[in-house]
Amino acid sequence: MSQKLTFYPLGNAETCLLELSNEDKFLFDYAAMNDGSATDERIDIKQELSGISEFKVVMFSHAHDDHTKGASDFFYLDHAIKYQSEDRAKINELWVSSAFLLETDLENGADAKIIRNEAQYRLKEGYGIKIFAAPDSLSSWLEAHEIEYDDIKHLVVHAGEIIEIEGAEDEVQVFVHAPFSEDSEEVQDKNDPSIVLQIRLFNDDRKTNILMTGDTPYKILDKIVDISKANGNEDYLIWDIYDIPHHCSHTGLNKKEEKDTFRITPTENVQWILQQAQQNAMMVASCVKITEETSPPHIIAKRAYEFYTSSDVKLMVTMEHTSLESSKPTPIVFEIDKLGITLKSENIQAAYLKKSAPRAGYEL
Amino acid sequence: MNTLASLQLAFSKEIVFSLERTGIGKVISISTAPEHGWELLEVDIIAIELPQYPVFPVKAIERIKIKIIDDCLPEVFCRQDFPVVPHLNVYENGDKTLCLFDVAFHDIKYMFNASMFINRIIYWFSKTARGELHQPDQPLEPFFPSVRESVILNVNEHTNKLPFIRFEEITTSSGRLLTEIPLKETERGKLFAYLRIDIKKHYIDNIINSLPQTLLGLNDAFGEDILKEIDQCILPIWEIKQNPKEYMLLFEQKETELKNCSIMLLVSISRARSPEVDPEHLEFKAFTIETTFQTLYQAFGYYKEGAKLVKKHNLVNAHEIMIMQHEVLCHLNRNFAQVLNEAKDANCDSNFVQIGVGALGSQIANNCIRSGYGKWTYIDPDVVYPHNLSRHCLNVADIGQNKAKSMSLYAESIFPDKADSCINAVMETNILSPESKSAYSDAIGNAKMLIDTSASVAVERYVCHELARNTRCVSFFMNPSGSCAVMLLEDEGREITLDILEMQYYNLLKNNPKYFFDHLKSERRVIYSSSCRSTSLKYPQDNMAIFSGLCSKAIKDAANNFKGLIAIWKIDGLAIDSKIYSAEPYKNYTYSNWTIKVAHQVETKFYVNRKRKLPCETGGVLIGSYDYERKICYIVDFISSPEDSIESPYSYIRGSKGLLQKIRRIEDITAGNLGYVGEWHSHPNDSTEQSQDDKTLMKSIVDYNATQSCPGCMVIVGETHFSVYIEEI
Repeated sequence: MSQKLTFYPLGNAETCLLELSNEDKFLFDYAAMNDGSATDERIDIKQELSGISEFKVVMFSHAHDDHTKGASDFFYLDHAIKYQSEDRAKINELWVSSAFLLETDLENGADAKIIRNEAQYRLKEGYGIKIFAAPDSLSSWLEAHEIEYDDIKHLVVHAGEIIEIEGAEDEVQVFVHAPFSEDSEEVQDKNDPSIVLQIRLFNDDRKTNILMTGDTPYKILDKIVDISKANGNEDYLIWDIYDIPHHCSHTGLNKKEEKDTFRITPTENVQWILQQAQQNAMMVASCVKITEETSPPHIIAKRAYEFYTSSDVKLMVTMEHTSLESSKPTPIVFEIDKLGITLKSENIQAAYLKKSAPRAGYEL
Repeated sequence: MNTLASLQLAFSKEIVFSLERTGIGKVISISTAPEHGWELLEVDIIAIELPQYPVFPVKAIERIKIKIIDDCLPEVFCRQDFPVVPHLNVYENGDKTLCLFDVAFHDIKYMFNASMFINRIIYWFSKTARGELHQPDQPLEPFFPSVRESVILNVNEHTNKLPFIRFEEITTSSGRLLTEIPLKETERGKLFAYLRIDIKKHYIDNIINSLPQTLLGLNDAFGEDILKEIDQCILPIWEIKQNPKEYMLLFEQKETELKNCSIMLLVSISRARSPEVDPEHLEFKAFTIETTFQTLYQAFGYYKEGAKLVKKHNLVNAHEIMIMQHEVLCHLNRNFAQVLNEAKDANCDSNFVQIGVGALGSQIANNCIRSGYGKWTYIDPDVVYPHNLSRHCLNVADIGQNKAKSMSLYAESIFPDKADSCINAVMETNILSPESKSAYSDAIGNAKMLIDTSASVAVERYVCHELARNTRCVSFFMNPSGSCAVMLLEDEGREITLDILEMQYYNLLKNNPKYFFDHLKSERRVIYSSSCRSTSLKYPQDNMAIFSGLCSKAIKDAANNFKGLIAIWKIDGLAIDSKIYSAEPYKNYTYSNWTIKVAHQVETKFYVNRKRKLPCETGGVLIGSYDYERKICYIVDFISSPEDSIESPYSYIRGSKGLLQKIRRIEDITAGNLGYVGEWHSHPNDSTEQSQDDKTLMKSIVDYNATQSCPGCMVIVGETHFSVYIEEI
């Protein structure tokens, strides 16, 4: 039994695909960032995922464009006929936070708003959705739509709960760290109530843990550590793959001080999270190539991630990952099996044949 | 550093270029030795796809050295502290080289280039890290690396015999080959004292160990005290002196000869794929101890006192006693041949009798011998003539010799060990001669199957009726043009015997005239001497080889197939068309002193035709054959009532329109083996007694058949049964 986890090069944006051995597919965020120009090195995510007709789960960590862009062009959405052509990918179960569900600060026509509408539709209909956290505002919304909480409470997931995946209980388990209900009220920054999960994969006796963080800021991570420790859930913060939050921004580590010019010092709790890395673990930052100038990603954050993890733990950047022969970034693909994670390498032929050949012909 | 400029060998340059082009490695240094023709590249290679929890600790960047010699597979040295893993050669000086390919260099040369070579190195590291380099379908690694020198042994023959072995030396293009010959053949070969050590531990690590150079090194390679075991072998060798007859045979009772005797040590090592499974096989390694028996026993502290050897001290200089490894090859025996041929089945050691070892028979026999299948009795009175050799498996040395006898010698040349012979007996007499019947009967009675490759209908009938009893028979023959081979295979219970299958075969030809129009025709006879009977058929050995393979395969397959079958294989250009038919049962009737064998389907057709014409009678002509020798009438089929027949409720007059042409066609396509045997007609009720008219008809049939020297046959079909009548003048 083995699984495949793919991080796509999308600039400062995130899409991650988990494929189980039974062919179930889980998509974490969707961001179609490629503008179609010849110089755009970001991958055409719509093209890349075009062979998939249905996802077991599609999760949107939060309602920002760099995690939702183009979703309304790609997915089959039940709430409106205009999103229902047969070439669209179906979503068996949609995962969003209550904050996303109740978000009102969204532009008309924005993908996030269309996904929110889909989430609201599914919740009203009582199928194909999981809502993370249950703030009071959710109750108000349910009341306004004449929905009894008891009728939909099986669709609501709280921090600290484990989600069992039907049909794949022996292969995958999802522990919910965040959002917390109190952070889902009167949201100032949409990053705050990002969904944070530990995905645990089972292969023979080997457990492989993936921490998915969205754009979660350090203060939420601090809280996650405190609450996990208080509840004896430290085991759920062990990781073999760490999805570095917020495109390697320093916000995932600590508040930047003036002194932090070379390397930011993570909060004590974030340092603790980084120490939960297992042997030869991997950190993946979904962001552009990291330089002194990029913001985000912040090079002071990159240095911190490398400094506060042991030397066998590697940091990879989606837009810096090229196959051996191709200058364009290629997806970071991990195979996960009884020997843990293995970074897959694209062979020369695949790299060559998956891109267009140079133009040929005699031009006058 | 201008790396490329300093290199002379083309492949060295290709490697450097490929590394630069792909970035999957970096040249660290180069060294060259033009006088020896090699160049050495030190390279940091990027090991990709390493798992998080590797089975063997491969580094992300591995430093290797590639030693390049023109037109040879480059050697790849890894760091000396690289763990000992499968497919790694470990040398005495600590060098370790990757075993990259499991085939010889010349076999991959056509696709060998720098890119492929480097990718193979990366693959080696990647799969080693996962513990998956050794594929499940690959044989286990040898315990020690292989060497060019080899010995061929009857490995299992020496367990309880004298501690000596005789070898004849053959120099081959790739080294020296010592092949075991019988001890008693004192006029040739070289005598060795023979020690055998069975290592007790089961090795599951699948590692190639460093090749030991000394007796101490050999001892250290295993976790048990084999020096002690060697010590215990010394006195039994000396004890040959107590056995005057053997001592005379081997050493002419000369002690000096014994003391100067060379020593061969055979080590058996048990290797398993994992702790959970049984060892796959014993691996044998042979070592010549590069000293005399006297030097060896003295090294172990033995000294001569009177006629005895007495132990005076322990072994002191095992590190000085040099040894030399030889690969061990086993003489082919039947069991090994069965394994190599995938011919192991419940009957692979059963007795078989084969009658006729001519062209087809000898080649079927050859296939069975080489696969170690069966223990055979060959029966053939013929001798080998020069023209036979064009399609026979025997050779010019066999000319003038009996074919059966020569085939048994041929079998012995493949399995020389008489105790392991695949030949039970040889009979050089004609199977049809009655005086040898009892000898044949015993052999056939003890056989699993009787294989008739005599290409003689007379033999086939004789075997089937007179000899086989409970032994299942199969008959193989080719058609005259050599374009087809036919198998007639009896069912396990012998309910459908060869003669019935023969009739069914003719009927198949009759019923498929387009396909078999020329099956029994041939204009291809050639006279090989001045005698009028000295003719042979012309057809290609290619066909013979193809068909003999099908036939020997069918013999093995018959063990798993209890049904009677007819197979007709036909070569059609470069393809083989195969038609397989289930054997059809016949029912036996007796009348007077005749046996009438009627095909089951004929009986069915009788009733169908009768019913269709009711209330009138109907009838037709019986098609079949007579065996005058055994007084058997075979009714294979019938021709239905010709259209000019007169059918009424109380009489039937068989017409003749088209009848002769139909019979001629049947005779033609079956080469006269089927033809007119009599007449049949139906009665409107269940009475099958002959009426007065029927008796008149019977007489007419008998009179007609008498002109052919045949009896006449009549069948009367009633509602539920029929009767057969045979009369002869």
